[in-house]
Amino acid sequence: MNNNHHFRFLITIVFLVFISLILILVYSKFFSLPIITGTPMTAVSVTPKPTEKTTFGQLMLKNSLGAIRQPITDLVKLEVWADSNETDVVGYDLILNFDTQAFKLVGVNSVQADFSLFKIEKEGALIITGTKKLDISQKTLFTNQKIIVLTLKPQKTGKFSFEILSSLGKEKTQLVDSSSKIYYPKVNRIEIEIY
Amino acid sequence: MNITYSSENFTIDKNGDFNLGIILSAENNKKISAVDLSFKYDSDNRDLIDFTGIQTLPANYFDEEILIATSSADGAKNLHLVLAAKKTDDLLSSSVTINLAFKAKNIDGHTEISLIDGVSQISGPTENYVFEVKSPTNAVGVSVGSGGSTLTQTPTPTTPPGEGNVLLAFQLRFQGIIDKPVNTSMPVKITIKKGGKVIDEKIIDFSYVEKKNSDIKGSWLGSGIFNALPGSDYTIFIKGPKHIQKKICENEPKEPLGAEGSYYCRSDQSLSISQNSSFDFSKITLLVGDLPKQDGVVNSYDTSLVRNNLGRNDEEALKLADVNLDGRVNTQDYSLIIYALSIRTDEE
Repeated sequence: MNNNHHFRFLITIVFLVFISLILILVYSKFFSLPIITGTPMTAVSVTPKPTEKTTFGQLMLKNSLGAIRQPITDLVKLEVWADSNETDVVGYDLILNFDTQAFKLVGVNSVQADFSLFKIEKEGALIITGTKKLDISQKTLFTNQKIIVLTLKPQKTGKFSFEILSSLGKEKTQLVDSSSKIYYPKVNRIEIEIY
Repeated sequence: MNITYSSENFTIDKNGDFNLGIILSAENNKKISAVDLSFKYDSDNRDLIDFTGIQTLPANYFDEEILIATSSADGAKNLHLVLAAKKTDDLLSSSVTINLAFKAKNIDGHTEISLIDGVSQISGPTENYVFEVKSPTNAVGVSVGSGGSTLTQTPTPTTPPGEGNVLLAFQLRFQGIIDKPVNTSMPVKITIKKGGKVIDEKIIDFSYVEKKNSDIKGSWLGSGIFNALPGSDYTIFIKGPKHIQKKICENEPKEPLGAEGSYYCRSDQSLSISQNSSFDFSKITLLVGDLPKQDGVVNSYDTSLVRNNLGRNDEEALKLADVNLDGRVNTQDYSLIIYALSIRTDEE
Protein backbone atom coordinates (compact mmCIF):
# COMPACT_ATOMS: atom_id res chain seq x y z
CA MET A 1 0.00 0.00 0.00
CA ASN A 2 2.78 2.29 1.04
CA ASN A 3 4.88 1.25 -2.01
CA ASN A 4 1.93 1.91 -4.30
CA HIS A 5 1.65 5.43 -2.89
CA HIS A 6 5.36 6.12 -3.56
CA PHE A 7 5.08 4.81 -7.11
CA ARG A 8 2.16 7.14 -7.87
CA PHE A 9 4.04 10.10 -6.43
CA LEU A 10 7.08 9.34 -8.65
CA ILE A 11 4.88 8.96 -11.76
CA THR A 12 3.31 12.37 -10.99
CA ILE A 13 6.71 14.02 -10.69
CA VAL A 14 7.93 12.52 -13.99
CA PHE A 15 4.71 13.62 -15.66
CA LEU A 16 5.04 17.19 -14.36
CA VAL A 17 8.67 17.41 -15.58
CA PHE A 18 7.63 16.09 -18.98
CA ILE A 19 4.78 18.65 -19.24
CA SER A 20 7.12 21.46 -18.19
CA LEU A 21 9.61 20.52 -20.91
CA ILE A 22 6.84 20.43 -23.50
CA LEU A 23 5.62 23.86 -22.38
CA ILE A 24 9.14 25.37 -22.56
CA LEU A 25 9.67 24.00 -26.07
CA VAL A 26 6.31 25.30 -27.28
CA TYR A 27 6.92 28.70 -25.65
CA SER A 28 10.39 29.05 -27.18
CA LYS A 29 9.09 28.11 -30.62
CA PHE A 30 6.28 30.64 -30.61
CA PHE A 31 7.90 33.47 -28.63
CA SER A 32 11.47 33.08 -29.96
CA LEU A 33 13.25 32.77 -26.64
CA PRO A 34 17.00 32.83 -27.16
CA ILE A 35 18.44 29.41 -27.05
CA ILE A 36 21.87 29.36 -25.49
CA THR A 37 24.05 26.87 -27.20
CA GLY A 38 27.50 25.69 -26.40
CA THR A 39 29.11 27.69 -29.22
CA PRO A 40 32.09 29.67 -27.81
CA MET A 41 31.88 33.47 -28.07
CA THR A 42 34.48 35.09 -30.28
CA ALA A 43 35.92 38.62 -29.91
CA VAL A 44 34.76 40.91 -32.68
CA SER A 45 37.33 43.38 -33.89
CA VAL A 46 35.82 46.60 -35.19
CA THR A 47 38.11 48.78 -37.20
CA PRO A 48 37.08 52.40 -36.72
CA LYS A 49 36.31 54.21 -39.89
CA PRO A 50 38.85 56.91 -40.68
CA THR A 51 37.30 60.26 -39.81
CA GLU A 52 38.22 63.84 -40.48
CA LYS A 53 39.47 66.01 -37.59
CA THR A 54 36.63 66.23 -35.12
CA THR A 55 35.06 69.64 -34.95
CA PHE A 56 33.42 71.09 -31.89
CA GLY A 57 31.28 74.19 -31.95
CA GLN A 58 31.48 76.63 -34.81
CA LEU A 59 32.91 79.94 -36.00
CA MET A 60 30.92 81.03 -39.03
CA LEU A 61 31.15 84.03 -41.32
CA LYS A 62 28.07 86.01 -42.39
CA ASN A 63 27.58 89.14 -44.40
CA SER A 64 25.78 91.50 -42.04
CA LEU A 65 23.54 92.77 -44.87
CA GLY A 66 22.74 89.25 -45.93
CA ALA A 67 23.54 90.33 -49.48
CA ILE A 68 25.68 88.43 -51.93
CA ARG A 69 26.10 91.52 -54.18
CA GLN A 70 26.85 95.05 -53.19
CA PRO A 71 28.22 98.22 -54.81
CA ILE A 72 31.90 99.10 -54.53
CA THR A 73 30.95 102.29 -52.73
CA ASP A 74 29.51 100.42 -49.76
CA LEU A 75 31.54 99.03 -46.91
CA VAL A 76 31.44 95.26 -46.49
CA LYS A 77 30.46 94.29 -42.98
CA LEU A 78 31.27 90.71 -42.07
CA GLU A 79 30.18 89.05 -38.89
CA VAL A 80 31.65 86.05 -37.11
CA TRP A 81 29.03 83.96 -35.33
CA ALA A 82 30.14 81.51 -32.69
CA ASP A 83 28.73 78.50 -30.93
CA SER A 84 30.75 76.82 -28.19
CA ASN A 85 28.47 73.83 -27.51
CA GLU A 86 27.91 74.99 -23.94
CA THR A 87 31.64 75.16 -23.24
CA ASP A 88 32.99 78.07 -21.20
CA VAL A 89 35.28 79.91 -23.62
CA VAL A 90 38.20 82.06 -22.43
CA GLY A 91 39.89 82.58 -25.78
CA TYR A 92 39.75 81.93 -29.48
CA ASP A 93 41.85 82.28 -32.62
CA LEU A 94 40.55 82.54 -36.13
CA ILE A 95 42.26 82.76 -39.48
CA LEU A 96 40.37 84.82 -42.03
CA ASN A 97 41.50 84.48 -45.59
CA PHE A 98 40.46 87.06 -48.19
CA ASP A 99 41.94 89.01 -51.10
CA THR A 100 43.84 91.77 -49.35
CA GLN A 101 44.33 93.53 -52.69
CA ALA A 102 40.60 93.74 -53.21
CA PHE A 103 39.61 94.82 -49.71
CA LYS A 104 41.14 97.22 -47.22
CA LEU A 105 40.53 96.30 -43.60
CA VAL A 106 38.91 99.23 -41.85
CA GLY A 107 38.08 97.72 -38.48
CA VAL A 108 37.80 94.61 -36.36
CA ASN A 109 35.59 94.87 -33.30
CA SER A 110 34.56 92.50 -30.57
CA VAL A 111 30.82 92.41 -30.00
CA GLN A 112 31.44 91.10 -26.49
CA ALA A 113 32.80 93.70 -24.13
CA ASP A 114 34.29 90.85 -22.08
CA PHE A 115 36.81 90.02 -24.80
CA SER A 116 39.84 91.89 -26.12
CA LEU A 117 40.85 91.36 -29.73
CA PHE A 118 44.37 91.21 -31.15
CA LYS A 119 44.98 91.00 -34.85
CA ILE A 120 47.98 90.33 -37.01
CA GLU A 121 48.32 89.91 -40.76
CA LYS A 122 50.28 86.87 -41.77
CA GLU A 123 50.85 85.00 -45.00
CA GLY A 124 48.07 86.95 -46.69
CA ALA A 125 45.54 86.14 -43.97
CA LEU A 126 44.17 88.01 -40.99
CA ILE A 127 44.73 86.22 -37.68
CA ILE A 128 42.44 87.35 -34.86
CA THR A 129 42.90 86.31 -31.26
CA GLY A 130 40.18 86.97 -28.71
CA THR A 131 41.10 86.80 -25.03
CA LYS A 132 38.64 87.08 -22.20
CA LYS A 133 39.45 89.99 -19.94
CA LEU A 134 41.06 89.07 -16.64
CA ASP A 135 38.47 90.80 -14.48
CA ILE A 136 35.57 88.83 -15.97
CA SER A 137 34.80 85.81 -13.86
CA GLN A 138 31.40 84.71 -15.17
CA LYS A 139 31.20 81.94 -17.74
CA THR A 140 31.08 82.70 -21.46
CA LEU A 141 29.00 80.31 -23.50
CA PHE A 142 28.72 81.19 -27.18
CA THR A 143 25.20 80.24 -28.18
CA ASN A 144 25.16 80.84 -31.92
CA GLN A 145 25.81 84.50 -31.44
CA LYS A 146 27.71 87.29 -33.14
CA ILE A 147 31.16 87.81 -31.60
CA ILE A 148 33.12 89.88 -34.14
CA VAL A 149 32.28 92.51 -36.73
CA LEU A 150 34.81 93.21 -39.47
CA THR A 151 34.54 96.25 -41.71
CA LEU A 152 36.24 96.20 -45.10
CA LYS A 153 36.38 98.74 -47.90
CA PRO A 154 36.19 97.23 -51.40
CA GLN A 155 38.99 98.25 -53.75
CA LYS A 156 38.00 96.20 -56.82
CA THR A 157 34.92 94.81 -58.49
CA GLY A 158 34.41 91.12 -59.00
CA LYS A 159 33.45 87.99 -57.11
CA PHE A 160 35.43 87.41 -53.93
CA SER A 161 35.49 84.77 -51.27
CA PHE A 162 35.99 85.14 -47.54
CA GLU A 163 36.94 82.02 -45.68
CA ILE A 164 37.74 81.07 -42.11
CA LEU A 165 40.59 78.59 -42.49
CA SER A 166 40.96 75.68 -40.09
CA SER A 167 44.73 76.10 -40.16
CA LEU A 168 47.49 78.03 -41.85
CA GLY A 169 51.02 76.83 -41.11
CA LYS A 170 51.31 76.67 -37.33
CA GLU A 171 48.22 78.85 -36.86
CA LYS A 172 44.90 77.21 -36.10
CA THR A 173 41.33 78.37 -35.80
CA GLN A 174 40.35 77.24 -32.33
CA LEU A 175 38.29 77.79 -29.21
CA VAL A 176 39.96 77.44 -25.80
CA ASP A 177 38.01 76.70 -22.65
CA SER A 178 38.48 77.51 -18.97
CA SER A 179 40.74 74.49 -18.47
CA SER A 180 42.87 75.41 -21.51
CA LYS A 181 41.38 72.61 -23.59
CA ILE A 182 41.44 73.33 -27.32
CA TYR A 183 38.48 72.75 -29.63
CA TYR A 184 38.52 72.98 -33.41
CA PRO A 185 35.23 74.53 -34.56
CA LYS A 186 33.34 74.07 -37.80
CA VAL A 187 34.18 76.92 -40.18
CA ASN A 188 32.79 78.22 -43.47
CA ARG A 189 33.36 80.28 -46.59
CA ILE A 190 31.15 82.94 -48.17
CA GLU A 191 31.23 84.77 -51.50
CA ILE A 192 30.39 88.40 -52.17
CA GLU A 193 30.18 90.08 -55.54
CA ILE A 194 31.31 93.70 -55.70
CA TYR A 195 29.97 95.77 -58.64
CA MET B 1 92.93 63.33 -20.77
CA ASN B 2 93.42 62.52 -17.10
CA ILE B 3 91.80 64.60 -14.40
CA THR B 4 93.27 64.18 -10.94
CA TYR B 5 92.86 66.03 -7.66
CA SER B 6 95.79 67.65 -5.83
CA SER B 7 94.53 65.97 -2.67
CA GLU B 8 91.70 63.59 -1.88
CA ASN B 9 91.23 64.69 1.71
CA PHE B 10 91.29 68.03 3.45
CA THR B 11 91.09 68.64 7.18
CA ILE B 12 90.66 72.31 7.93
CA ASP B 13 89.72 74.56 10.78
CA LYS B 14 86.38 76.29 10.99
CA ASN B 15 86.45 79.45 8.81
CA GLY B 16 89.63 78.10 7.20
CA ASP B 17 90.57 78.31 3.52
CA PHE B 18 91.78 75.56 1.25
CA ASN B 19 92.56 75.07 -2.44
CA LEU B 20 91.59 72.01 -4.40
CA GLY B 21 93.80 71.58 -7.45
CA ILE B 22 92.18 70.00 -10.51
CA ILE B 23 95.06 68.72 -12.62
CA LEU B 24 94.37 68.25 -16.31
CA SER B 25 96.95 66.21 -18.20
CA ALA B 26 96.61 65.54 -21.91
CA GLU B 27 98.31 62.53 -23.44
CA ASN B 28 100.67 62.68 -26.40
CA ASN B 29 101.46 66.32 -25.77
CA LYS B 30 98.05 67.43 -27.03
CA LYS B 31 97.14 71.01 -26.12
CA ILE B 32 94.24 72.07 -23.93
CA SER B 33 92.18 75.01 -25.10
CA ALA B 34 88.72 74.74 -23.52
CA VAL B 35 87.31 73.19 -20.40
CA ASP B 36 83.73 72.60 -19.28
CA LEU B 37 83.56 71.07 -15.81
CA SER B 38 80.76 70.80 -13.27
CA PHE B 39 81.30 70.07 -9.60
CA LYS B 40 78.94 69.22 -6.79
CA TYR B 41 79.61 69.87 -3.14
CA ASP B 42 77.84 70.27 0.17
CA SER B 43 75.13 67.78 -0.81
CA ASP B 44 72.10 67.22 1.44
CA ASN B 45 72.03 70.91 2.39
CA ARG B 46 75.21 70.61 4.45
CA ASP B 47 76.33 74.20 3.76
CA LEU B 48 79.81 73.71 5.22
CA ILE B 49 81.97 75.36 2.57
CA ASP B 50 81.73 78.19 0.05
CA PHE B 51 83.46 78.46 -3.30
CA THR B 52 85.48 81.69 -3.42
CA GLY B 53 87.33 81.70 -6.74
CA ILE B 54 89.75 80.04 -9.12
CA GLN B 55 93.35 80.40 -10.18
CA THR B 56 95.10 78.52 -12.92
CA LEU B 57 98.60 77.28 -13.46
CA PRO B 58 100.01 78.49 -15.85
CA ALA B 59 98.63 81.79 -14.55
CA ASN B 60 95.98 83.49 -16.72
CA TYR B 61 95.93 80.50 -19.00
CA PHE B 62 92.29 80.93 -19.91
CA ASP B 63 91.16 84.13 -21.61
CA GLU B 64 87.48 83.64 -20.92
CA GLU B 65 86.04 82.28 -17.73
CA ILE B 66 82.42 81.67 -16.89
CA LEU B 67 81.75 80.51 -13.36
CA ILE B 68 78.24 79.57 -12.38
CA ALA B 69 77.47 78.71 -8.79
CA THR B 70 73.96 77.37 -8.23
CA SER B 71 72.12 75.07 -5.92
CA SER B 72 70.35 71.97 -7.13
CA ALA B 73 67.05 70.45 -6.17
CA ASP B 74 68.73 67.68 -4.13
CA GLY B 75 70.19 70.25 -1.76
CA ALA B 76 73.73 70.25 -3.21
CA LYS B 77 75.72 73.25 -4.40
CA ASN B 78 76.84 73.15 -8.02
CA LEU B 79 79.79 74.87 -9.60
CA HIS B 80 79.95 75.02 -13.38
CA LEU B 81 83.22 76.19 -14.97
CA VAL B 82 83.52 77.10 -18.63
CA LEU B 83 87.05 78.19 -19.44
CA ALA B 84 88.41 79.02 -22.87
CA ALA B 85 91.94 79.89 -23.98
CA LYS B 86 92.18 81.96 -27.15
CA LYS B 87 95.95 81.75 -27.48
CA THR B 88 97.93 80.55 -30.42
CA ASP B 89 98.86 76.87 -30.32
CA ASP B 90 102.44 77.53 -29.24
CA LEU B 91 101.19 79.20 -26.05
CA LEU B 92 98.86 76.35 -25.13
CA SER B 93 99.86 73.62 -22.72
CA SER B 94 99.15 69.94 -22.34
CA SER B 95 98.97 70.24 -18.56
CA VAL B 96 96.87 72.78 -16.71
CA THR B 97 96.00 73.00 -13.04
CA ILE B 98 92.81 74.73 -11.96
CA ASN B 99 92.86 75.67 -8.29
CA LEU B 100 89.40 75.96 -6.79
CA ALA B 101 89.45 78.07 -3.63
CA PHE B 102 86.97 77.29 -0.85
CA LYS B 103 86.29 78.76 2.55
CA ALA B 104 84.86 76.73 5.40
CA LYS B 105 82.03 78.04 7.51
CA ASN B 106 82.02 78.17 11.28
CA ILE B 107 80.46 74.71 11.53
CA ASP B 108 81.92 71.30 12.34
CA GLY B 109 81.22 68.58 9.83
CA HIS B 110 82.24 66.56 6.83
CA THR B 111 81.43 67.19 3.19
CA GLU B 112 82.56 66.13 -0.25
CA ILE B 113 83.45 67.74 -3.56
CA SER B 114 83.03 65.70 -6.73
CA LEU B 115 82.89 66.06 -10.50
CA ILE B 116 79.35 65.58 -11.79
CA ASP B 117 79.05 62.41 -13.85
CA GLY B 118 79.13 62.56 -17.59
CA VAL B 119 79.22 66.28 -18.21
CA SER B 120 82.96 67.07 -18.24
CA GLN B 121 84.19 68.15 -21.62
CA ILE B 122 87.68 69.26 -22.58
CA SER B 123 88.73 70.15 -26.08
CA GLY B 124 91.89 71.02 -27.96
CA PRO B 125 92.55 73.80 -30.45
CA THR B 126 92.42 71.55 -33.47
CA GLU B 127 89.14 71.10 -35.27
CA ASN B 128 87.13 68.04 -34.29
CA TYR B 129 89.29 67.35 -31.24
CA VAL B 130 87.55 66.53 -27.99
CA PHE B 131 89.53 64.67 -25.36
CA GLU B 132 88.34 61.44 -23.87
CA VAL B 133 88.16 62.38 -20.22
CA LYS B 134 89.28 60.01 -17.45
CA SER B 135 87.83 61.51 -14.29
CA PRO B 136 88.87 60.67 -10.73
CA THR B 137 86.98 57.77 -9.24
CA ASN B 138 86.64 59.20 -5.74
CA ALA B 139 85.18 62.36 -4.32
CA VAL B 140 87.35 64.73 -2.32
CA GLY B 141 86.59 64.57 1.40
CA VAL B 142 86.60 67.77 3.45
CA SER B 143 86.50 67.66 7.26
CA VAL B 144 85.83 70.97 8.95
CA GLY B 145 86.72 71.57 12.62
CA SER B 146 86.45 68.39 14.64
CA GLY B 147 85.05 66.63 11.55
CA GLY B 148 81.72 65.09 10.83
CA SER B 149 80.21 61.78 9.98
CA THR B 150 81.89 59.59 7.41
CA LEU B 151 80.30 59.83 4.01
CA THR B 152 80.12 57.09 1.47
CA GLN B 153 82.17 57.47 -1.68
CA THR B 154 80.38 59.00 -4.62
CA PRO B 155 80.00 56.89 -7.76
CA THR B 156 82.73 56.94 -10.33
CA PRO B 157 82.23 59.72 -12.87
CA THR B 158 81.79 58.30 -16.32
CA THR B 159 83.64 59.42 -19.40
CA PRO B 160 81.50 61.71 -21.51
CA PRO B 161 81.09 60.79 -25.12
CA GLY B 162 83.16 62.77 -27.60
CA GLU B 163 80.23 64.13 -29.56
CA GLY B 164 81.24 67.41 -31.09
CA ASN B 165 83.99 69.73 -31.90
CA VAL B 166 83.27 73.32 -30.89
CA LEU B 167 82.63 74.52 -27.37
CA LEU B 168 80.05 77.29 -27.38
CA ALA B 169 79.19 79.32 -24.30
CA PHE B 170 76.14 81.58 -24.26
CA GLN B 171 74.94 84.45 -22.16
CA LEU B 172 71.22 85.10 -22.55
CA ARG B 173 68.57 87.43 -21.21
CA PHE B 174 64.89 86.55 -21.00
CA GLN B 175 61.98 88.96 -20.98
CA GLY B 176 60.38 89.82 -17.67
CA ILE B 177 62.97 88.34 -15.31
CA ILE B 178 64.13 91.34 -13.34
CA ASP B 179 65.10 89.76 -10.03
CA LYS B 180 66.71 86.53 -8.98
CA PRO B 181 64.21 83.91 -10.14
CA VAL B 182 62.68 81.21 -7.98
CA ASN B 183 64.11 78.58 -10.30
CA THR B 184 67.68 79.40 -11.35
CA SER B 185 67.97 76.68 -13.97
CA MET B 186 66.26 76.67 -17.37
CA PRO B 187 66.47 74.24 -20.31
CA VAL B 188 67.03 76.13 -23.55
CA LYS B 189 67.04 74.71 -27.07
CA ILE B 190 69.97 75.88 -29.17
CA THR B 191 69.86 75.18 -32.89
CA ILE B 192 72.79 75.90 -35.18
CA LYS B 193 72.10 76.31 -38.87
CA LYS B 194 74.31 77.00 -41.85
CA GLY B 195 72.85 77.77 -45.25
CA GLY B 196 69.37 77.04 -43.90
CA LYS B 197 70.39 73.50 -42.88
CA VAL B 198 70.38 72.37 -39.26
CA ILE B 199 73.95 71.52 -38.26
CA ASP B 200 73.26 70.63 -34.64
CA GLU B 201 70.56 71.09 -32.04
CA LYS B 202 70.84 70.65 -28.29
CA ILE B 203 68.89 71.40 -25.16
CA ILE B 204 71.24 72.98 -22.66
CA ASP B 205 70.58 73.81 -19.03
CA PHE B 206 71.19 77.49 -18.44
CA SER B 207 71.86 78.91 -14.99
CA TYR B 208 70.95 82.33 -13.69
CA VAL B 209 73.84 84.54 -12.63
CA GLU B 210 73.36 87.83 -10.84
CA LYS B 211 75.33 90.72 -12.26
CA LYS B 212 76.59 93.46 -10.05
CA ASN B 213 77.44 96.93 -11.33
CA SER B 214 75.50 96.35 -14.54
CA ASP B 215 72.35 97.72 -16.17
CA ILE B 216 71.22 94.13 -16.48
CA LYS B 217 70.56 92.59 -13.06
CA GLY B 218 71.15 89.06 -14.18
CA SER B 219 71.70 86.85 -17.15
CA TRP B 220 71.65 83.16 -17.96
CA LEU B 221 74.79 81.19 -18.74
CA GLY B 222 75.12 77.86 -20.45
CA SER B 223 77.49 76.01 -22.70
CA GLY B 224 77.82 72.87 -24.73
CA ILE B 225 79.85 71.13 -27.37
CA PHE B 226 78.28 71.21 -30.80
CA ASN B 227 78.94 69.27 -33.98
CA ALA B 228 79.99 72.28 -36.00
CA LEU B 229 83.18 73.36 -37.68
CA PRO B 230 84.79 76.72 -36.99
CA GLY B 231 83.69 79.14 -39.67
CA SER B 232 81.25 81.89 -40.59
CA ASP B 233 77.74 82.31 -42.02
CA TYR B 234 76.13 80.47 -39.15
CA THR B 235 72.73 81.26 -37.66
CA ILE B 236 71.89 80.42 -34.08
CA PHE B 237 68.31 79.90 -32.91
CA ILE B 238 67.47 80.15 -29.23
CA LYS B 239 64.21 78.91 -27.75
CA GLY B 240 63.45 78.92 -24.04
CA PRO B 241 60.83 76.69 -22.41
CA LYS B 242 58.16 79.42 -22.42
CA HIS B 243 59.57 81.55 -25.19
CA ILE B 244 59.37 82.48 -28.83
CA GLN B 245 62.33 81.26 -30.84
CA LYS B 246 64.83 84.01 -31.70
CA LYS B 247 67.06 83.88 -34.75
CA ILE B 248 70.51 85.43 -34.27
CA CYS B 249 72.97 85.99 -37.07
CA GLU B 250 75.68 88.19 -35.62
CA ASN B 251 78.15 87.65 -32.81
CA GLU B 252 77.14 90.66 -30.74
CA PRO B 253 73.46 91.39 -31.37
CA LYS B 254 71.98 94.48 -29.75
CA GLU B 255 68.59 96.13 -29.51
CA PRO B 256 67.77 99.72 -28.61
CA LEU B 257 67.17 100.36 -24.93
CA GLY B 258 63.51 99.79 -24.08
CA ALA B 259 62.71 98.09 -27.37
CA GLU B 260 62.51 94.56 -26.06
CA GLY B 261 62.55 91.87 -28.69
CA SER B 262 63.22 94.33 -31.51
CA TYR B 263 66.42 92.66 -32.76
CA TYR B 264 66.03 90.93 -36.10
CA CYS B 265 68.56 89.27 -38.34
CA ARG B 266 69.56 91.11 -41.48
CA SER B 267 70.57 89.26 -44.60
CA ASP B 268 73.97 91.00 -44.71
CA GLN B 269 74.97 89.75 -41.26
CA SER B 270 77.18 86.78 -40.50
CA LEU B 271 77.82 84.91 -37.31
CA SER B 272 81.14 83.13 -36.94
CA ILE B 273 82.06 80.25 -34.69
CA SER B 274 85.55 79.39 -33.50
CA GLN B 275 86.80 76.32 -31.64
CA ASN B 276 85.77 77.95 -28.38
CA SER B 277 83.29 80.77 -28.75
CA SER B 278 81.53 82.81 -26.11
CA PHE B 279 78.40 84.58 -27.30
CA ASP B 280 77.02 87.46 -25.30
CA PHE B 281 73.38 87.57 -26.40
CA SER B 282 72.32 89.36 -23.21
CA LYS B 283 71.94 92.69 -25.03
CA ILE B 284 68.84 91.40 -26.76
CA THR B 285 65.66 90.16 -25.11
CA LEU B 286 64.27 86.70 -25.68
CA LEU B 287 60.52 87.15 -25.56
CA VAL B 288 58.16 84.90 -23.66
CA GLY B 289 54.88 83.68 -25.13
CA ASP B 290 54.95 80.11 -26.38
CA LEU B 291 54.02 78.19 -23.25
CA PRO B 292 54.13 74.42 -22.72
CA LYS B 293 53.21 72.38 -24.61
CA GLN B 294 54.95 74.52 -27.21
CA ASP B 295 53.70 74.74 -30.78
CA GLY B 296 55.75 77.66 -32.13
CA VAL B 297 52.87 80.15 -31.92
CA VAL B 298 51.60 82.54 -29.26
CA ASN B 299 47.81 82.30 -29.31
CA SER B 300 44.70 82.03 -27.17
CA TYR B 301 45.93 78.74 -25.70
CA ASP B 302 48.93 80.53 -24.19
CA THR B 303 46.87 83.45 -22.85
CA SER B 304 44.39 80.93 -21.42
CA LEU B 305 47.14 79.12 -19.52
CA VAL B 306 48.03 82.32 -17.68
CA ARG B 307 44.41 83.30 -17.14
CA ASN B 308 43.39 79.84 -15.93
CA ASN B 309 46.32 79.64 -13.48
CA LEU B 310 46.14 83.21 -12.23
CA GLY B 311 47.11 83.60 -8.57
CA ARG B 312 48.52 80.10 -8.28
CA ASN B 313 52.01 79.39 -6.99
CA ASP B 314 52.11 75.60 -7.02
CA GLU B 315 54.75 73.78 -9.02
CA GLU B 316 52.44 72.70 -11.84
CA ALA B 317 51.11 76.21 -12.43
CA LEU B 318 54.56 77.79 -12.23
CA LYS B 319 55.92 75.31 -14.74
CA LEU B 320 53.18 76.21 -17.19
CA ALA B 321 52.55 79.91 -16.81
CA ASP B 322 54.99 81.76 -14.52
CA VAL B 323 56.87 83.41 -17.36
CA ASN B 324 58.80 85.96 -15.30
CA LEU B 325 59.79 83.28 -12.75
CA ASP B 326 58.75 85.32 -9.74
CA GLY B 327 57.06 82.35 -8.08
CA ARG B 328 53.44 83.26 -8.85
CA VAL B 329 51.23 83.37 -11.93
CA ASN B 330 49.97 86.93 -12.00
CA THR B 331 48.97 89.85 -14.19
CA GLN B 332 52.60 90.56 -15.07
CA ASP B 333 52.77 87.18 -16.76
CA TYR B 334 49.52 87.97 -18.56
CA SER B 335 50.85 91.32 -19.81
CA LEU B 336 53.99 89.66 -21.13
CA ILE B 337 51.97 87.08 -23.05
CA ILE B 338 49.68 89.76 -24.46
CA TYR B 339 52.76 91.67 -25.66
CA ALA B 340 53.98 88.51 -27.39
CA LEU B 341 50.73 88.19 -29.39
CA SER B 342 52.07 90.93 -31.65
CA ILE B 343 55.22 88.90 -32.40
CA ARG B 344 53.21 85.71 -32.62
CA THR B 345 55.55 83.03 -34.03
CA ASP B 346 58.96 81.46 -33.74
CA GLU B 347 61.56 82.96 -36.03
CA GLU B 348 62.63 80.38 -38.58
